[in-house]
Amino acid sequence: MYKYNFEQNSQHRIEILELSDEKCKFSFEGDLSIANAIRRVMIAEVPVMAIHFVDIIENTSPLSDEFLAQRLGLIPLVSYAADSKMYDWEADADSIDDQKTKVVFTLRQKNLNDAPLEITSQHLEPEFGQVGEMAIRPVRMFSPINGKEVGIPITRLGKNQSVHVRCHALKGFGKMHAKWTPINIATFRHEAELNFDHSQTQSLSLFEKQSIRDSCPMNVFAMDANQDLIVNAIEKCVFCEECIRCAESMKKPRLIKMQHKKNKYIFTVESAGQLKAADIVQKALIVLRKKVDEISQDLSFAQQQQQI
Amino acid sequence: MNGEDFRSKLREFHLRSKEQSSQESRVILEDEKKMNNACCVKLYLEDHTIGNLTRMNLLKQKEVTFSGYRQIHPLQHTIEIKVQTNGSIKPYDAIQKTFQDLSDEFKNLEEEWARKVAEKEKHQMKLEI
Ligand code: SF4
Repeated sequence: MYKYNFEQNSQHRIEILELSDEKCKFSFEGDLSIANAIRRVMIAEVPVMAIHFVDIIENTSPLSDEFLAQRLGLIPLVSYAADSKMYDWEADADSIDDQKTKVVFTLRQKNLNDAPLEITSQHLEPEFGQVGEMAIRPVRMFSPINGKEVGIPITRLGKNQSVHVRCHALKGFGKMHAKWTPINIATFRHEAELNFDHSQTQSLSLFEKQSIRDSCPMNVFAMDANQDLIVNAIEKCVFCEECIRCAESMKKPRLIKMQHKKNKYIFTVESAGQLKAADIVQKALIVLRKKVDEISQDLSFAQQQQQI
Repeated sequence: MNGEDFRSKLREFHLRSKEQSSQESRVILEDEKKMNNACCVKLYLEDHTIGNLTRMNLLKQKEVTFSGYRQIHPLQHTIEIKVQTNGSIKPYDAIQKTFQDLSDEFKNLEEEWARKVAEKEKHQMKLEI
């Protein structure tokens, strides 16, 4: 029978390589199954808010009602408050306006001018005044050209056209619909392991060393004080094998040995704006722990019942 | 998988457990009749995330001789985990132990993550100044 070879009680280790509000890169040392669970939960099970029901009161815009509702749903909402007890699953279209279960936005615009009017997420007004950091609001988008704040386009109105809609934003997660996914990218890959054949490195000329260093598109190699080739930033390696091809052209095919490092993975997480990248990872870990705890509780409950 | 369907199932489940004011169990246990020291656990509203995690971590235990999982049907939100042990511990206990270990591990990871993020932020603040 096939039996996996595990390190017993392997310690998990995390090292953050890059961190900003939108993007986070970190290396994770540990089990593949745990790495994959974290990735899957980040994509599909971190709760955020998104518009789920739209009451259309008036719509004379060029877009049909369904199209408009779809576009409204896809607007990312800043949802720092979404994991607290505030917003619950019970909310539905027919439940009364309850600040505890949902956030309501109204959009009411009419174009009286000749020029077309662009309706964007900036025109969405929260119904019960939400203020501060924790407010649920559409993410702010800035123009890449002049840096001015522009909203996310929803539709355009010609002369005398108007829209009047009420949008109900509910909590959900990516498993239900992609609009509730807080990330753009969540991937992980192996870290490389590069080894030099030291019997061959000594015979390398300085020029050859330099050309190997320069062959790498990711600047993994560097020269140390003794003009020796060293591996400087292994986490940047993308397995392109350029360095090996360069060594082969020098008739030294076994100079560099490259393999996947076992149990070490490099994660890239990019936020879509609803949450900060670091918070997404944090929340994914909390979701996983809660899930596991809940199941283990349910399991002992079920076991007790069966014994009686 | 049908997302809207999943949402309504989850909602139903939450409402039901609220009505009964007791915890509604998502777990169904089944003894394996044809095999010794084996059991089958059905988990409602779970998918490969938990399935694979449990399977791989069960295999870490020396006493476990077999563990596997499957999603019963792509449109049903249920997975099934089967475990067999060598008899020195009960299969239920093996599963419980796995969940306990995982829970501890995630707790550690959470703490470590919070610490590392704080460190990194501090470091970046220093660089800016
Ligand atoms: S495989 Fe590519 S990225 Fe990695 S060290 Fe070699 S040249 Fe650089």
